[in-house]
Amino acid sequence: MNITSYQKKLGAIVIVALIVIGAGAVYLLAGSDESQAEELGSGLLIYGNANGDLVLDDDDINIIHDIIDGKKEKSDYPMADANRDGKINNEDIAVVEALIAGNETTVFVKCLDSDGAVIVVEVSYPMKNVVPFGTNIVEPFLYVGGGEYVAGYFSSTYPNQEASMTGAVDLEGSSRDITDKAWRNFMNLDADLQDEGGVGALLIDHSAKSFSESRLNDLSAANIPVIRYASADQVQEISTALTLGFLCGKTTEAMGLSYAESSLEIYNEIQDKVKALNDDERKTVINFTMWIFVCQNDSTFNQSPEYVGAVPYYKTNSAFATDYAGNTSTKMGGVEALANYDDADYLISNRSLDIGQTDMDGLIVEQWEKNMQYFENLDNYHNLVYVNNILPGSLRLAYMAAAIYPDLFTKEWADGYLQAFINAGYTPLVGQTLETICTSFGYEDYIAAKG
Amino acid sequence: MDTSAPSEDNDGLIREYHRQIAKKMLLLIISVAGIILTVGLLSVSTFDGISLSQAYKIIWGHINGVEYDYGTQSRLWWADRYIWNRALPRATVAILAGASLAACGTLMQSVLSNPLADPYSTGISSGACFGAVAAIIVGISFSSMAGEAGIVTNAFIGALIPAIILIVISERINVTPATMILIGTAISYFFNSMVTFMMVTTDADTLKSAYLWQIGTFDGLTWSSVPIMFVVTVLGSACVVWLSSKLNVASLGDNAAISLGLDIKNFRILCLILMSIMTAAVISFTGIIGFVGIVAPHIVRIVVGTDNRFVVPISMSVGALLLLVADYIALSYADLPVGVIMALIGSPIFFILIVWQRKSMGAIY
Amino acid sequence: MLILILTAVAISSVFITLGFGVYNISVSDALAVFIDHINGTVSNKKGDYYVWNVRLPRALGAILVGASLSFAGAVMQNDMRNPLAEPYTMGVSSGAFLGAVLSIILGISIIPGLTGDWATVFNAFIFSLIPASMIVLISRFRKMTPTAMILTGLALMFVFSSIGQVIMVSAPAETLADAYNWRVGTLAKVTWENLPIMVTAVVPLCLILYALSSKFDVMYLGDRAATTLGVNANLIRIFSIFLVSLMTAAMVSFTGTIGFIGLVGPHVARIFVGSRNKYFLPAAMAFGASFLIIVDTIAKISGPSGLPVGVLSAMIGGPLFIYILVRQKRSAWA
Repeated sequence: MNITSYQKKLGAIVIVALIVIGAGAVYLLAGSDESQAEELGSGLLIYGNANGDLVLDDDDINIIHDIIDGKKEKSDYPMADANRDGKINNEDIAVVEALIAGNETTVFVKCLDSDGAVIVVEVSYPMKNVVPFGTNIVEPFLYVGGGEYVAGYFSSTYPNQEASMTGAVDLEGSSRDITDKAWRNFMNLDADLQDEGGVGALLIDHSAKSFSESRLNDLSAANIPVIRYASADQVQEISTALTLGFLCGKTTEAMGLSYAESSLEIYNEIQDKVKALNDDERKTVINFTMWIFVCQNDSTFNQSPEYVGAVPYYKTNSAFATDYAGNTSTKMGGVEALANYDDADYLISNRSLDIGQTDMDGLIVEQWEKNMQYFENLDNYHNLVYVNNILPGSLRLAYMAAAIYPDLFTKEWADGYLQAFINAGYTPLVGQTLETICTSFGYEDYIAAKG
Repeated sequence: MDTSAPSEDNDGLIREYHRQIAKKMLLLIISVAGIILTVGLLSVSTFDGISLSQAYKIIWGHINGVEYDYGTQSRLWWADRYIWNRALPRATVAILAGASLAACGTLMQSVLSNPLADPYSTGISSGACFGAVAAIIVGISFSSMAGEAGIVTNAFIGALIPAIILIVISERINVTPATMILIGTAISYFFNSMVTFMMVTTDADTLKSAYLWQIGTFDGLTWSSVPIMFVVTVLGSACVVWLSSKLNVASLGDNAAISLGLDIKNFRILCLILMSIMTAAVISFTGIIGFVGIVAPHIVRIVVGTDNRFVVPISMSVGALLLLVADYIALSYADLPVGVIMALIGSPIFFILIVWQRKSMGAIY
Repeated sequence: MLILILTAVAISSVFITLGFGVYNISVSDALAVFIDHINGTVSNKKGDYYVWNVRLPRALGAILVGASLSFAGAVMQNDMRNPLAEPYTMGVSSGAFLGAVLSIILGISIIPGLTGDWATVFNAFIFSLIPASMIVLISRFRKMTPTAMILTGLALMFVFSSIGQVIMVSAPAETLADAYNWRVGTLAKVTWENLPIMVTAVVPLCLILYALSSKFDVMYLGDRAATTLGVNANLIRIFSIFLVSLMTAAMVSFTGTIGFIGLVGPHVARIFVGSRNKYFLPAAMAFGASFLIIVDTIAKISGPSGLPVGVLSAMIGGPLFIYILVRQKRSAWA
């Protein structure tokens, strides 16, 4: 064999390699085909709630009456058809009246399917024996007092936060994956609950993706409704809490309503104040999860700066937008990773830290120092702020707003809302104080904690 | 049986011969019985509140079209669904995968004249990994059929790339077993680096999905995974069994094989193609399950000797049994992927095999 | 001659690479910052940080790691008389990985009282020596050929990584990602803090091994020939394997598994200077050093925050390896 044929061979190898790399690149580029969820609205997502507000009440009955009498157009009130039979008549009024009275009936709920499209599912009212999956949907459900209606869970990640689920069965899954074994445990749980009508519903956080087609088929064969919401988003979390609270009966309905009202109050107050900001006063924000994973442009986390009147950094820096295209997060490759991007005004690090902390200073120092070397030489190091991702969504926004616009909001202002939430008795917060809940902390807090 | 038959009428030899046959039959019977028993255990003892006899009744009932009423017979309804849609496909896949990987392992060990070769020696696993990880990490969801099918097809195509490279190269140079393994190693280096590249640039959850795929698991398998694997495994194994006497010749080494009239070069390529397709059909559904292909043939050789006409079929049943047992452990005791259990069982066996092996280990090692 | 050229390449690369990375600074500006720092007249504080505190130790780390891994690979290939032997052949990387996983996922530290990164480093170091120690131990009871040693190393590697896997799969996604990322070889973790430790661990071992180079020449002829010439091949083999493992362990604990360089470095060196260890070993070192620093420079500018050097070297290395194999077919190793 002469050299030329070796070179040909090498050429062939290189070509194959290039094809492989090319194919990989095409894959990577063709990536994000995640369809964004259609707007669900921030109201109560229950059919019969004709006016789309937060409650099911006489107003809704009046609207339905008006539609029956021909005073209002059916097409203006798509949610008026409470029993989803296509007709607006007295039966719909009967359903709404039953729901207002808290009597057993069947209710139709607007939620998402696995592709993020809006669908309607049928649930027995009042809903009980629920199995939730995914932290982002567990939390709002617990805040409205759903803990006692949980029959089983696939994983428990935050012991204090999830204390109210103790009566439930551990199905031995993990926070993201459901194994065949966990699924078999779920089947057994449903069989055990036969006399109570089986599992009432499966609640799924839209960002938790590992629910295979075959498992969904099992659920639909057994007529177990799947209620899915993208509740990682702070605004969608409000309607999630409201709707799930409504479904479990009158007590949780009241909790859900007050939770939603308080949340909207915070949200609206923030909107009111940041409305006045000029474009050049708006701060830019880079979001992080897990300390050093940079949130990519289309990640859910990048929605939150917009809610507090700030701008996700990628919108102002095209080089950054190119580097961090995608809808997940990516790890910083080294301490230089953000060297060119430290003109971002704020670095918001989203961390989930359980409530019921006893050594707050220790916690702050530990969290801050764990990956400090990635940040400490950036110009905006002093504007790195950790926000506890386990808090109710509106409070997360409040603490974020307080960090980003200290002239408009203060941490005391946000603390006031947290205290109000504690006082209102949203289950996981009962018995907690401002000292046992890690809310947000920045450089100054770290220095103070270090002593 | 011609080669081992006694050439003269000697009582001792005949007795020895019968003893050998008996040993072989015994091992075969043990593993086949083990398979049936483990399938039973898999589908039966793993569902709470369903006894052994009830479970067989459920299977029989399902075949006869018995249906249960959800709401009044929920447990039977779920048990029927579980046994039929989860346990049985899982067991079927375990049997097919075990048999197929063991057959491929035997094949590779003979073709490469290297007792440590396994189906992954030529880099198939890294190619499949690359395909699957590309599918997982670009964000295709596990939840839709398109996503699952995407991973499977990606993995299948990826698994065949190393074989194609080897074939292309083999047209230019004389590919010896040694160069095959070396080139396989180099291909693995390349693909593994691509996999690592994708893994380090993704988020933690996706990384975990991709990592778990690589380890190999039967979780979430349904009947839809079975047909392709079944057809390829059955046809492929038939070919391997049919080739087994030629494999005996091939394992004697190149020179001996050529003098016995075997076109070793083309034979090797043929085996490579056969093995690649068989392995790809399995691992694209299950992920990279290691050690079956290497441990099963070795255990069998210790008992029945090196004649591939026996080693191939018995290895297949032993391989199937091994994977079934590993899967039973995975499902009932440790909530771990079957690949991990197989590695935990296989790696010490491998270690013992190595430490006590007296024979030289072939060209490369 | 080649050694001198490569050494010059490596040294000049150290300075050139100071200008490469995510932070935008030209090579000449970076050099200016470097000289400023030596003169104690730091003007560009941020530049000084990235050039002096981040890139310089990383560049020196590349030289050190590249040289010593390639050297270690050369010694192993000699010892084992096997072209596929490399520094990790004795299972160093899988041992280190298990140690790191224990610390990262389960929070177990072998040295009591240590936490965080240092616990991981020490765990990795101690565990990485277990496979090699076991092989040394076994070889006291059973006479082991080089092949048997390689195979035992392989088998131990399987055992260790299967235990590591069990821990990995039951870990939550966050810590699994940490553990996975630990294993991927990168020079980004080399700092002024740990560089001196690596240097003190590696340099004496290199010198001892180099002192043995004439003995390696004899061993290359085969064990029997060596015995005739009065060299106890087995003893030297065991001894040098242990030193190589020690050296590799010192690096793996800080950088993760940087593959490939220890395998291919020696092959390339052999093509140019032949097999006499007096020249071969330094040539392997020089090549390893310059190869790794160049690849690391490319790694630093590829992708938004830089690729791990281990990934890039394997990507370049795979095809290169095939090429070398094909060319080397008729050499001593085929």
